Amino acid sequence: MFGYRISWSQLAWYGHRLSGIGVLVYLFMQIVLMAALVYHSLNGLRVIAMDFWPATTRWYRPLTYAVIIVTFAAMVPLGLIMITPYAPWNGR
Amino acid sequence: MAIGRKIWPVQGDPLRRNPSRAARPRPSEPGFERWMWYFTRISGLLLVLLAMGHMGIMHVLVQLTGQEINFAFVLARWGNPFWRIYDLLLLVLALAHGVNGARIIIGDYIERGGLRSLLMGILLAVTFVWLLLGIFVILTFNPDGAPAIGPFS
Repeated sequence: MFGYRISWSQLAWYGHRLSGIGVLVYLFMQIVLMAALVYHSLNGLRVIAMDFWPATTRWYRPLTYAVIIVTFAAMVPLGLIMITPYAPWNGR
Repeated sequence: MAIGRKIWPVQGDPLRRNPSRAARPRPSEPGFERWMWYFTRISGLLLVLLAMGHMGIMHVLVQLTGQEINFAFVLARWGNPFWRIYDLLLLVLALAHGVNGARIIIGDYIERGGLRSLLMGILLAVTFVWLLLGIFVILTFNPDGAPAIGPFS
């Protein structure tokens, strides 16, 4: 499968890392999901615009930057709102 | 000052030139792949509204109004047929849009052969089970017949 010999200990190490990242992502699941959804939506709208109105490709670069900036900007308040019930400043 | 590189007007069919340079060009021959190309874009537009609405209500507005999502919340929500149809539409469109995307990604990275067939088969089987399970729950959920919640209740 890997094209070279791999030991069980190596496999266990990969498994530990992968499952660790999985647990971490699961912890922040809703926020990760929200960020992915915001980015995918904005970038998808850009792709649709450029597919059907090729004139908009003139602004390919600024629009791509805008998608990234707006995603991060939107996730600041959204992330704060979503984490508030579990946050230490909320008395927990 | 011109912002960005000028790649318009395009030569030939603009939909084939893939000016977005992010997704794929529209397939040249009519058929399944071209249908899916349009489906991805149209369902994507609808999903911006449906999925954003879902996340906005269930994970943002709920927090802002100091509510909690529990069994009573779900009962009240699915007591209204509008939200059942909304959730059904979201389930079917999101699953079809996402699975088609996964199908294309598998096709892009895994060469023809046993592994690709295996992955496509697993994808199809999981999709089928997920779709049936989701539709079954949304359509048949009956608050009166709902059991007491939790293993210790």
